Amino acid sequence: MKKKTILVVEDDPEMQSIYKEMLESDYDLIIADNSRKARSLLEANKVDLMILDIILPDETGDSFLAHLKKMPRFENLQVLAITVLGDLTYELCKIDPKIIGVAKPFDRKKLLKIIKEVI
Amino acid sequence: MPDQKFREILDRLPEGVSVIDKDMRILWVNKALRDKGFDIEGCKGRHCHIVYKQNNEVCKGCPAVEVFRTGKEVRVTEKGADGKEYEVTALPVKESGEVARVIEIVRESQKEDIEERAARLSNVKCQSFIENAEDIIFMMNKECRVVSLNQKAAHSLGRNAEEIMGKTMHELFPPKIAERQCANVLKVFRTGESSSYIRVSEMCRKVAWLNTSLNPVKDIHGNIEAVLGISRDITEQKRAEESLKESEEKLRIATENITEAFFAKDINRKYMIINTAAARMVGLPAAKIIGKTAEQIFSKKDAKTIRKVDEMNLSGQKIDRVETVFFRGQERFLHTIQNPLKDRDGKIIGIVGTVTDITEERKAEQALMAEKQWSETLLQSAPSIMICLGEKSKILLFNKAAEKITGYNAEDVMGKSWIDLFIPKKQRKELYGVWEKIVKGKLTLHNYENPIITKKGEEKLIYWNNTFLSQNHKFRMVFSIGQDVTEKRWAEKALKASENRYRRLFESAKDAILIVDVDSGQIVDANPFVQDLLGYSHKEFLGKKLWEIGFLKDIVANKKNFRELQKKKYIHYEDLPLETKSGKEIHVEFVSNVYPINGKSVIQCNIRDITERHAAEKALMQSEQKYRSFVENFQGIAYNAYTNGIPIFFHGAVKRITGYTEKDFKKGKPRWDQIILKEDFKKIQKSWKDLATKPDYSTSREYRILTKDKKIRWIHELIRNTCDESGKLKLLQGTLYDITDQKRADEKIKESRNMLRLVFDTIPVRVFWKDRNLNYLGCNKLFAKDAGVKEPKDLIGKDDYQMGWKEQADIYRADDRAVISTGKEKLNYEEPQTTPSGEKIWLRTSKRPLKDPKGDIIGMLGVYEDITEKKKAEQALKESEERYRNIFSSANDIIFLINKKGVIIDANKRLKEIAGYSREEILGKSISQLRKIMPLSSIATLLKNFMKRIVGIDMPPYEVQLRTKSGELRDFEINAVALRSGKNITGDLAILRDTTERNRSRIDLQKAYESLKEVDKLKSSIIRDTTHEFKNPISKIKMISSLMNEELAKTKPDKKRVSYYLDIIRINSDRFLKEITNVLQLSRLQSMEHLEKEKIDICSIGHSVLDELNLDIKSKGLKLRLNVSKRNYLIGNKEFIRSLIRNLVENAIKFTDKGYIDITCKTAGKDLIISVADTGKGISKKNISTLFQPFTQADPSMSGVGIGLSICKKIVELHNGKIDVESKLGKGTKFTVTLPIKG
Repeated sequence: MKKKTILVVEDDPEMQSIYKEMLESDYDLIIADNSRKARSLLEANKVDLMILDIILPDETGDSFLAHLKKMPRFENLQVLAITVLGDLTYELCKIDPKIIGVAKPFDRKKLLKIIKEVI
Repeated sequence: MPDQKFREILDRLPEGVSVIDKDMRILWVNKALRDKGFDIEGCKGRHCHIVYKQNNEVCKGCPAVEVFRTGKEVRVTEKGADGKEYEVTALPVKESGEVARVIEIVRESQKEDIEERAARLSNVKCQSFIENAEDIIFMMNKECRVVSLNQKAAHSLGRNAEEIMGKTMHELFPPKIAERQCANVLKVFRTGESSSYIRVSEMCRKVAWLNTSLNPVKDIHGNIEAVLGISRDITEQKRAEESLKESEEKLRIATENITEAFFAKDINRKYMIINTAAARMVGLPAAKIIGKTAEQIFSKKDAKTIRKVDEMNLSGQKIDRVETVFFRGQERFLHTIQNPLKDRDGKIIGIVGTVTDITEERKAEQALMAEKQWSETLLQSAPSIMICLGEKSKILLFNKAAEKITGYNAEDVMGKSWIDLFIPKKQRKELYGVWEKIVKGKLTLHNYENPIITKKGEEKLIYWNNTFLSQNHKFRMVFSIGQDVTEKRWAEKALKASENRYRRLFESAKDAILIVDVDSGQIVDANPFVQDLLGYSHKEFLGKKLWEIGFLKDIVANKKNFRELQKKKYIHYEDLPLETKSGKEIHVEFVSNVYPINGKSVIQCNIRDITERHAAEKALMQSEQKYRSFVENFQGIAYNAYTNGIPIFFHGAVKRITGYTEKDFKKGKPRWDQIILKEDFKKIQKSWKDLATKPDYSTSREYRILTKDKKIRWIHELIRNTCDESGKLKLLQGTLYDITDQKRADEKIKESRNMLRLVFDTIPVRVFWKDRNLNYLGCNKLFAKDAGVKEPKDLIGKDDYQMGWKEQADIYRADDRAVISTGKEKLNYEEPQTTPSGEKIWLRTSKRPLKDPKGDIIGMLGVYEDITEKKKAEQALKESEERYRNIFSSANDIIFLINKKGVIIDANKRLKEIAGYSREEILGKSISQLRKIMPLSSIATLLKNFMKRIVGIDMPPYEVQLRTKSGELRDFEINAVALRSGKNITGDLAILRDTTERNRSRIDLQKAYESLKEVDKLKSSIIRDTTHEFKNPISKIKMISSLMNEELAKTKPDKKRVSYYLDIIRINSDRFLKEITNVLQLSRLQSMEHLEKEKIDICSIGHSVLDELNLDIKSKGLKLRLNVSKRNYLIGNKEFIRSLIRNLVENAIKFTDKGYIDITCKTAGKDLIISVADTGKGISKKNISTLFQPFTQADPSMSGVGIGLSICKKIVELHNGKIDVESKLGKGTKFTVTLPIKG
């Protein structure tokens, strides 16, 4: 069985490696530093799940999401929004109720459990 | 004589021993007696040396005599001259059975015995004294019981002594008195001291004054046994005292109350009594005068006068005099009556006097005198007769002119009847009638002419002008001014005579007339009739001497006759036969007169043919000429007319008076009666009738005529009729005078006088006049009222110091004086006045000098009106106006007054202060003309609001803008109020409040609010960010630790992986620590004011920082360029400067991915300049502005809280330096820090 593909949108290299450590064994990970890159990767790959750090260098996560969700192709794209502040999740849910907010810090088990529930 | 031995023994005895012989001679006394002073040996009859008082005679009961008589021993006890009791023992000394001598032994009797006896004796005496005493004497014991009393005391109580004894006070007296007396008695018991008092008591049912003294009675041990009371009835004394006091009080009150000053002095001229009036006059309180002499009170001069008077008094003279003194600078007249004060025996014991200040009376008197003198002078110096007639024509006044004209002295005629004395007998009756009518008020003759008889018996015709004085419609007197018109009438009569003569000539026009020069006797003229009559030619007469003419030979045949003519001036021959040239004899009447013509005497010879008497026409003419010359000087018109009024002739000032000529009247064009005014003609109609019907009727009348030039003139006419011999009315004769001027003047005077009087008393103006000394001479009724007096006359002679307004007197008088001294008027000025009731009123006054006819100033006339109400209203208006003006001008806002037309009519000073415009620039402009100072929109708003308000719609405040003179546009809020006058809106009062500052601060506030909101937002984001920043590393640490945990749980942990995990943990821990340090440092810096500073080496700090960061620089592959000069020192805080450099460099590293970092450090003057430049991403312009604010991260994705630059800025500020930034996006950023080297 082919591994499912997860797009990680994260500018912090340390966080990128943490995601790799946690998920690489179970999923195909593609990583984007910024929203522009994330969009092109979304276009190019079949992405099963997008893990999105809300704080991005070129665009805020919510505006990126809002933009993305308007496109029919990504309407059903499952998104895990990583925040340090729980309240932002509520804002994101207004854009798409299916978005799942995950607050840092989290451990591998918890992250994998959430991902598995979604995909 | 006893032997020497015996003597010695006897001398030693204490008793007195004496030896007395038969002759009662004391032969010897022993020492005891000698010691007592009785060295009386040999003294006959002086044997009773001790016991007996008598010396020269043997006294009764002498023990020695008894012994001699009886031969037995005698013992007696007697009181000695010293008051002691002595026991005398007389012993016989016998010789041959007979008593030869007696020895008397004297010794003091036993002491106690004697005292007891003495006490008994004195008791008796006392008792008798007490019983008979006039005083009430009583004794009381401690219980206030009467233990002893005398008759008088018992009598005073109306009881027996026995009844009273042992009774208490309460049993004897009414409770009150008893108590009081008990108290007094007990007080004596208590204190042991005497007391005395005076009381009114009832004694024998009479009220009596008792002077009582209470004395303690002590026993031998000094204890008070009883109280002895002695009361003396002093009622009489008291009464006398009382009545004296009463009369003194009466006298005192009397002297106090008499308004006259009253005083009395003693013999030493010291004032004993002085009443209030006198004290007031002196100007000192009475207490300060009493006991002093005049010298101690008055000035030297006055005192001297007073002394003189006093001394005269003391020598018995009475003084009554008026003196002038100066009191406080004012001249006063004092009437002093001063008499010697005598006692009953007529001895002078002092002076009494009264002084009355009669200054007012004096002044009034003087004023009156002056006025009287005035009028008297006028009266006496007038050229006309002035008389005043009272009842029954009694003469009350008779002036000098009257004396002169009548020849009587005023004293002779005063009080006598005018009619009896002066009116000719034949007219008296008539005049009595006239007088009667006048008295009854039925007749008033203002102008009247009648003859009077002078003292010399001459008859004089007087023309009167009468003024009737009446009181309460009852005749009082007539005041008449008379002019002697005798001369005038005589002239009239003469005129008549002359006219008669003329008429005669006229009637007999056949007189021959010759005019002859008196001096030479030559004929100078001859009338044609002469020629007719006598047949001589004119030439034949001329140049001839009178006597050369043949027919006159007999008449004036020679010079002698002519001389007679010259002397007599008149020759008359009734019937003179004359022969004419032709020889015809005629009879003539020859009249020859001498009279002057043109200064030359001529003789006129009238020769009349008495056969045919005719007046020669020439003579007639001549006479007429003469007549004319007379009447030409006559100011009136003389006329003759027939009874039907047709004039025969009119002469005199006909033309001048009427404008018509004499001829006009003669022709009857017009007739005289035609020019008389119709209404006046009616008045005199009756007299016309009388003239036409009554013979010898004469009258005078006044009427108006209309002259040719249509002017009205007043005519006074004297007219009478004459009769011929048969008594038939023949002619009217009269004189006419033009009295227009006189009449007019009269009327004017009358009118003006009446007017004046009326005006004077009714005008609401006060009028007064004063003399040169500023004393009132008179005033009108209103003024008198103001002054608080009843009648104007009450004021005369007073001055302003005596008025209610004495407060202002000095001001008034200064004005008065100025007017009098300069002669200039002072008109319509306002001044205050205090009324008699103390009220203060305002006057508008005018003052003018008062002049006599010569033009000398004799006083001043003042006129004023009460303008208090006006003034008050004005004052109130002024005050209110002022009040409003104050509000207006001192308001903090600009205020405009805008009239109904929208024109600004007033503005307050704030206009200048706030907007910079002067009033002149704005006033008079309409709202629409304010374009220069207001934007159009504001003008439109202003106009719109103004238009609404002006029709009565209230508008809320609104905002406009005003351009100030300096060009600044400022906001104003206009709050406008309609100005109303009654119901009408007259304009607008616009209050402009400068709201620029308010608005600005509002905007500022808005801004502050906005920024606060921003800050608030920021704060939330900061909190979010910081939380994020802090949470981030910790989250990572936690996540890595869990990964590491998993790794380590493996049986074969990958060491490399674990090491990697640990690296991440370390890095994040460092970052976290750094962030926290930064935050803490900033918060520390924010609260800091000063830094601890020291000399620091920038280079070494810089290097140590670069050492720390070198790894970062290298790991990023950046190049470092250093341009740092060595030895750069700075006074500063080492820790913070280090932090500053580190932050800047760290920032540069953080935002730079490639290129280099350039660090420069150099000194420039007093400053040290550090710059850190990079080739990083740069900062947008937008972000530069918030660069130094804390918690703003230029790049949100960059880690770090973003407070590094805030820290830098704060550090630089604390070092008094500055930090600048230059940046270009994508190219790089350069921070430059300038720090003063000396900190």
